[in-house]
Amino acid sequence: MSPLPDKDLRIVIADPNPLRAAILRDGLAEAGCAQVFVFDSFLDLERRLAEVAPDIVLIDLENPNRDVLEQMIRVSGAQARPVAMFADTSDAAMINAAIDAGVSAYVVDGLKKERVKTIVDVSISRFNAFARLREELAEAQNQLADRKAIDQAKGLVMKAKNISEDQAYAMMRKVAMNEGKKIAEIARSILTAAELLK
Amino acid sequence: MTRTLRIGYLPLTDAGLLFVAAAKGFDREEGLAFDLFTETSWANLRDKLAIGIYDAAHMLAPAVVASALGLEGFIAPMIGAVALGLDGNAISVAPPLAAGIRARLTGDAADPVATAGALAAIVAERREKDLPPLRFAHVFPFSIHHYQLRLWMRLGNVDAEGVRLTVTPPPLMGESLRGGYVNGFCVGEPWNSLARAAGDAEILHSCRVLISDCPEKVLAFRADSARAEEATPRAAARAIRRAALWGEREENAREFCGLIAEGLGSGVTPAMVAATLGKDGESAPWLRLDAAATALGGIQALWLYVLIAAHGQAAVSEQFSVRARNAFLGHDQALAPKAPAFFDGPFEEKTWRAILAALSSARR
Repeated sequence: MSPLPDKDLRIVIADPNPLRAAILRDGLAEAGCAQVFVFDSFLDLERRLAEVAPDIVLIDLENPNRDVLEQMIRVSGAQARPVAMFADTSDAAMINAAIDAGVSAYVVDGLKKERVKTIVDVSISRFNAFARLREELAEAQNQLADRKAIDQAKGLVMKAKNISEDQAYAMMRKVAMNEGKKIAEIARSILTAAELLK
Repeated sequence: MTRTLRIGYLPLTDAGLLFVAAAKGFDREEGLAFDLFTETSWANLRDKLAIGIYDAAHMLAPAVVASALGLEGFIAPMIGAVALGLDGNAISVAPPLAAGIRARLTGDAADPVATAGALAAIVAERREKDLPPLRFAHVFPFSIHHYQLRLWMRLGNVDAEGVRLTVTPPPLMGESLRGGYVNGFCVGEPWNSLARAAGDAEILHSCRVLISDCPEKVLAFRADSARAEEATPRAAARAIRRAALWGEREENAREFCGLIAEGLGSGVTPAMVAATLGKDGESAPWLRLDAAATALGGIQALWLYVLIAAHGQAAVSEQFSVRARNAFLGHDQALAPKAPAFFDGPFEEKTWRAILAALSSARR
């Protein structure tokens, strides 16, 4: 099957999260969509929607402004329908994947199902990519915080026991192993105790 | 055997009977286990119920009727099994608009005809000065809030061109008022009280002064699954009614309000809930969560269809009126509720066309 000519589709991404919106826009650009508009706020949405006259509006499922969009679409006269409408045909798997990823799409009536599928598939994979990125970021931040706590605790132990850095670390690791805990948890206990005993 | 029901809800005081039924085990007494999930939008509740992520949902009564009519936006028809209360909304405005209304009042501030008249004067002045229209928010295209705002404005012959109606999610109402994005709103509790407590809003009227005993939210199921197995929605309805009966007893009032406040969280106090329900010994109730307020019947669904059609959201047809009547699961005759009155007269099945015509002609 030849790639679908999607460059004339007008797509609005309604997402106050700039990072996710950027990831989604890049994904759609790679898929050949040239006319992508990002709305980062819902203020004055009615006028801006009328200006763009999109074929598809993409929005985070958990965004409470979905109800605003329902009204705006009615008022602006665009006959857009939520993507769940496609469940009546066949693609329940696509609907479930969209729900899992947390993306909701409003699609203008009369748009071919295959074209919508391409867009929704890209959105799902990009929303998932964003979720992974966010997890990785959180993980990196946790590691950084752990590292910092361990260093501080190590300093306290070195000073209190007048031992070397390596010895202090070995000591903390031993306690962690004996108690079945992570070394960062032990480090935080030391910091809490030191705070109390100040 | 206990059957688990996944139920989605929005954080509103009229989700209260769900919290109470689950906390006090009324669900289990009916062979069910309510598993409650908080949601962020009516659209989400509608879609997740339609595709089977939820078995039941806290839902706007007019949205259930609209889905039964197959109106735009609904993929699967829903059915209402039990009412989750009657009334509960209020109209609030930003303090400057409240002051403007007071300054132009020619009657009692508690009379919605007087306040709407004052609003009409403000709207006319603004048009004369070429100021942008006032903006009022409701919560969903098919919501009692939407119709209540319009009914109130009609009482004062407010020029419809001078006011814009928009939708704002209830948790953002106060902030939208503070930011000047809207000038007033109609929303359910606790959002009026919270906005007032934050100094963002003045509450003008409980909507009970416009129409009392409005079907507001219902526990909705997918129509096909409910029709295939009526035992489950009926058992859920009984559990809700038991929770309401329990709450009616004076000795349980404190715990009842406490459970609802706890279920809502985010700054809602038992005293706030008690005031909304008229259980604090001083306030008139805005919201009814008593057992009689859980009854649901075809006459209410027909009443809702009249509202939907009068506001131009559905065609007027005999076929639609029949479909609307079947949007709610019927109950014992003894529990059959009445529909609220329009124009001081009772709403009866045989007069719906006349009432619809009267409502539509009065619409500006």
